[in-house]
Amino acid sequence: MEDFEHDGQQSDAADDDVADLLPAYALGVLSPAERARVEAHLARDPTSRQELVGFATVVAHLPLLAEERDPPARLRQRLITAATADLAAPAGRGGVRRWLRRPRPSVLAASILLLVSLGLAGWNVALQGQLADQQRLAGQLRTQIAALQAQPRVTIYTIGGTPAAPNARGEVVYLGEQHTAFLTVQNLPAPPAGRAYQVWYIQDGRPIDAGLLAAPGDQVATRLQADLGQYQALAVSLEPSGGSPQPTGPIVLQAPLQPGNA
Amino acid sequence: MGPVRTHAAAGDRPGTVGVAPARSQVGEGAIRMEDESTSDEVLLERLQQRDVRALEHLYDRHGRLAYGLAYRMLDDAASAEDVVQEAFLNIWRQAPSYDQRRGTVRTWLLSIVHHRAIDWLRSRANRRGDVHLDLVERSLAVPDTWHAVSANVERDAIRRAMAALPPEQQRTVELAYFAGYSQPEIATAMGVPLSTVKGRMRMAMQKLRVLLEGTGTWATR
Repeated sequence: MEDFEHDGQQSDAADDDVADLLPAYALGVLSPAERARVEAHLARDPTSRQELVGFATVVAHLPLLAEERDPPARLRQRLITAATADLAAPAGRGGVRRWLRRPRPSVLAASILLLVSLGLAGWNVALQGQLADQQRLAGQLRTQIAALQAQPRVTIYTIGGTPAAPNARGEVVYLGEQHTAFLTVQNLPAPPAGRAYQVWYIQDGRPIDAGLLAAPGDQVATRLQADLGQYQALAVSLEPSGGSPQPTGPIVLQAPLQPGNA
Repeated sequence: MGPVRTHAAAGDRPGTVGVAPARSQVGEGAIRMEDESTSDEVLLERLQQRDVRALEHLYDRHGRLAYGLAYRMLDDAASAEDVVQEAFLNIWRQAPSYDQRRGTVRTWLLSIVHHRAIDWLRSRANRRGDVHLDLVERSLAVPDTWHAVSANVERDAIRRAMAALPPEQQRTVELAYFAGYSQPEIATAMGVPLSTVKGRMRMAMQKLRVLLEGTGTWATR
């Protein structure tokens, strides 16, 4: 190596060899090792730098050889939704992004994700009453879920009914960096008079009060403020209205908060 | 967002959140009218101020070409869609640190599309990382080719220039740029020695430069 550096003829030959790589460098098709060699060469050779400007300008024209095409209409909205979600995400994340697990979209979960993407910054999540036209929105919302792949650490857990409410099901949309989750439930019968559904986190087999479930008939989601990572499961039980310090009634919904359920 | 009514959560108790219909944040008609008179430079400044509408404008202006490039390289609509979305998001995320003296937004965008598409073609396992500015630097340190003349003139110029090359040189450039082939891969694909590929590539790029210089699309500043 030392001989190489002090041998003028070999260095010239090496420079000529590297200079041959300049067009491929401009075209972006060199290996990382070749790229590094070219860049080292460019650092000491102004003539090559000038030549590279010419090649790079040619390359800047090459995209125009492609025919313009109309992208799918959904792409525009996907992009805007993802960018808006980015605004809400904390700045200064590392280069490796964490991606949304592929969701199993329900209308409610999709609606929440959209709301989160649009309004996360101030947590002024809009309340616009009941969802007036779910079917009309469903398709649009589902396509927008994909755009939320830019939202870091969003995890969706499914929650299933127990024999006490076999048709009930739901989803937990968890925003890890905000320690906030939204619980949506479908097909859960309205609680009897004087009773209410109560949500519990399960930690080491011990139930922890997570508050009352929003009345199922209201088409609303229940917002939970917690680091779900410290709990093993989530459950919903039927309790006296106003809640109970400990679960007393039947459990109607439960779900493990494990990676396999996400 | 539209009109809001909130149910404040008391203490640690959970709040309830009604599910609102989606609505556009801005009127699209207004966007497109404004778009006509807004330069890319102004849009970039607004991107740097985290204005999502500027990203919409940029997409409306360059989305078709970006998608066309990605589709040409990937020949797959779904992959092209992903690549274009990633490229625009890349611009969005890196805009605050972008110095306009490095090159135009359009060149930057198309460079990212190109890199993304090549990554896709090579099926790199970690292709989802943002394309760092350094990787597209060589494409950016160029004179502003986009402002002096219209895209149509530039398109005609590059097409005429390519058509003027011998077929084997055209193919060499196309395999490199649109298929992401390395020089050894081109040599294999075309059944010629590597030295021949290098020679053809250099000759082609030099001729293209000369031909483009003669068309007036080679703007300098």
